[in-house]
Amino acid sequence: MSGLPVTIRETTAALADGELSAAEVVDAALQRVDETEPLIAAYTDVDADGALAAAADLDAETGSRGPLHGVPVAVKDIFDVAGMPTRCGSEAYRDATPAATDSTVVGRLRAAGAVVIGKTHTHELACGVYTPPTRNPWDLSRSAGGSSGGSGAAVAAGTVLGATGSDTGGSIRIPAALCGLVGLKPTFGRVSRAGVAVLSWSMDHAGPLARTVEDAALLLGAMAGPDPLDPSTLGQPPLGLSLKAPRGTLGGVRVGVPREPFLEGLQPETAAALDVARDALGELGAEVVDVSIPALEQTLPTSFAIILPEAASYHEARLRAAPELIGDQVRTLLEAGMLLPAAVYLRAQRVRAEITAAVAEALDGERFDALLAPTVPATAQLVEQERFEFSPEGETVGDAFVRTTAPFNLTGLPSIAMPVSLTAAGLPTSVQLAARPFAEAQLIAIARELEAVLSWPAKVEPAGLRRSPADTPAGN
Amino acid sequence: MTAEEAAVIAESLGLSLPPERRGPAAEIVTGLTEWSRALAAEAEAPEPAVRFRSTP
Repeated sequence: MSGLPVTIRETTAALADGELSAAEVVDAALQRVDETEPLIAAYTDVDADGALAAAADLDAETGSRGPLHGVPVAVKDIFDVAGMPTRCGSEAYRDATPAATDSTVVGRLRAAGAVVIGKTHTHELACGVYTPPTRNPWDLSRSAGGSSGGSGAAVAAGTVLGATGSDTGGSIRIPAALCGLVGLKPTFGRVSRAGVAVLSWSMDHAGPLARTVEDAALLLGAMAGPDPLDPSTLGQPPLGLSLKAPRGTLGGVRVGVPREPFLEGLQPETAAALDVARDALGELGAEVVDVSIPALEQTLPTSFAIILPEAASYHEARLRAAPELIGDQVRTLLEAGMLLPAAVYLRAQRVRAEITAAVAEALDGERFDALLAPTVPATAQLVEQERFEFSPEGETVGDAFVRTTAPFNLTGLPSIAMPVSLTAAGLPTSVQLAARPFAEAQLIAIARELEAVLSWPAKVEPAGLRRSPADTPAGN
Repeated sequence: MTAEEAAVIAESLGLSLPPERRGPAAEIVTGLTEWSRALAAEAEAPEPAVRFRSTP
């Protein structure tokens, strides 16, 4: 792609060895933005001057600022970045003034040495799975997913080595899946949401998108930790990450594969990818067992009955003052949230507790270390595509994606989406692993073992951006 | 919830809900309300038949 290392680990190693300067890395990132933005439209704003100045500061320092020293990152445009407006992908925020301070996540990334290149498109108000005008680097006729679609496209195109995302019903993992990336939704309460626009207080999570599991872990390590500005993060146990190389075995590990609602309508390519991941885990020595958790059948209505009124509450002032500034799709959801009886919201919260208990019972009763599921039921949709028809009744793209990602928003469990393979059409497939609350270290360790035996072409130019045969992945 | 009922509730909330916007919002609310009602009645009807879809 840019000719520079494409992972955080390789980049920071080259910087530490003096083979590269932060200024060279950031300059290459900015050049890559110039090359790819006309094709993918990932960014709302690019802060070239700020990024180059930050890189110069890093190069002037005598030591390493932290594990992300010199690493270019992008920030979803619902996270505050000091000096830049937070517009949330909506005309309703068109007059937003520049943020006075960084969100906690951005501040922590900078403290670890990361350099913010710019802000990325989000589906309006982080409430959808398309993220116009962004396109998928693997196929420019397709969506990058959402709502963190700009972040997904920015990382997949190689403009940055990592990006922030938020995940209320799948919005980190969906673009990760569609763009061939790793997306890590941590445990609820692991990463601060201070300075991040709300969609749903009780469902929102912040986390990273990256090319590899290790890179996602490095980003999470910088982002995580207690923050008095977000009380949900207080009292969390230490992250305890150990980024040792994969050992080539998962002996003694038990993995559950829940049926509902994950397997109720899958594109054949996605089902095949799940089988590949399942077999790979088995070959690593893990015991992989089917499990039924019927409570998860209620995932979709429970999620919507919680997200819609919480989102309506947060955006009520804007919905009243200038509803015409909010796009039709999101506006309808907010209006429904305003009209929904409180009893339905409260029932959904009760069902959520039942779902959480049922999943915990499955994890404990079956002694599972992780759950394995398709991240989403299908590969990237066309930008104008509204429905999937691979299930008997068909379903909207949004319902299909949320059906398989929201279980881990409702339960708050950590979940990591990771690419498996390219389909014959050249689109990424993805699976997700989930684990017990605050067991990110274990989750990442299992994901790294799986990643090591899958043949995902993490360092290959996405097909939509490919210009030379040399960029073609082996076997395609 | 009908579009007319949505209009009445919206008005009581002081929320602008033009005629063309009432149906889509009402349909989502109806889906979720029926889902909730079915769960509430689960003791009598253990197999709730409601299948929720967020978009009509």
